[in-house]
Amino acid sequence: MQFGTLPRVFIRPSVFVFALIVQCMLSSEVLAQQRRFGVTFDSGSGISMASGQEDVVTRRTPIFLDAGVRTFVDTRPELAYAGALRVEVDGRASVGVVARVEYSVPLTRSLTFRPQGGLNLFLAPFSMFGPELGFALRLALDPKAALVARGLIDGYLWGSDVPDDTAVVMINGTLGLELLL
Amino acid sequence: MKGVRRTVRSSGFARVAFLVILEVSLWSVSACGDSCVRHSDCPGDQECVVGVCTILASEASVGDASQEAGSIDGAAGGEGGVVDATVLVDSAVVDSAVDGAAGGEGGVVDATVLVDSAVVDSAVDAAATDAGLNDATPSDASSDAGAVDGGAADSAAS
Repeated sequence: MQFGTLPRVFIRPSVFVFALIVQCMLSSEVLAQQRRFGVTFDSGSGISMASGQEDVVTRRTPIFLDAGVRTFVDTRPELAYAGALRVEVDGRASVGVVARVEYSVPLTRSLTFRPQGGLNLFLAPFSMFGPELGFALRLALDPKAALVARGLIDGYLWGSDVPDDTAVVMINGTLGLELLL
Repeated sequence: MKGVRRTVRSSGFARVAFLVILEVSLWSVSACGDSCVRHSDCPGDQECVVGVCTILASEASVGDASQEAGSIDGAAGGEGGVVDATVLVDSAVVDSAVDGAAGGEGGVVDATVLVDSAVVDSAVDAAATDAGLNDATPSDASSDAGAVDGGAADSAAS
């Protein structure tokens, strides 16, 4: 069996080294790509707005509690996916879910800025659906624990709880804890 | 010097925090009343319409609206005949009329109430026939109900 003009004595070691490098790359990639999980607990409120008869009507957003899960891959810790169960507990009882994507930008050793975007869906006893944009500031308290403050803008465009011919816009703030598992 | 700076910063932060809490409190106070952003801001039998909690039109039940108007006299021809008819009355109009006219005087609430002329016409026709009054003018009854006492006032007050 001939391999071009290279003498056979070079071929076997070259193939071996190439195979070794590929194997090292693959195995390191596989080993490093470990999915990590964290849990989050937040509480928040803010201002709700909708168009009224003449101008914008504002009300305080009912206090809500979020309990969620956050996941990312070790090789790209800056990109995380999160989901949370949201419960309104102030003046009404309602249940919804939140799904979002977060991008982490380290500001200092312990402070991280996270732009984020996602979708909100209230499920019961009424429905409400719309996008959410915002940011989070994460202050690391410990390698596995952090204090997280968020500023969120929620727009609810559809649902049985949204009045006709208007949309409900909320500017909310939350404060909570994030624990890395 | 560092301590002074820190004090100045913290007092500024406290001032901002105080203002934020004050604003949120004021918002929550101003939220009292009828203003609403979502349907769930309103009581169960109401829904949010252009920022105001409004009683559902479909739920203004016929039971409330079909109040017995008691006696409608005078308008039937001044003959003293009593037309005892069940007349469909707009409960909102009765409410406002009763609110405006009733002052706890009891008895007669002298208010002009818009009633369904077709219903009144048929009721007056029937009553006039029974009473042998052929010159009753149903059209007058529809324009001015005169005194509405008894059932309408009671129902509205309740």
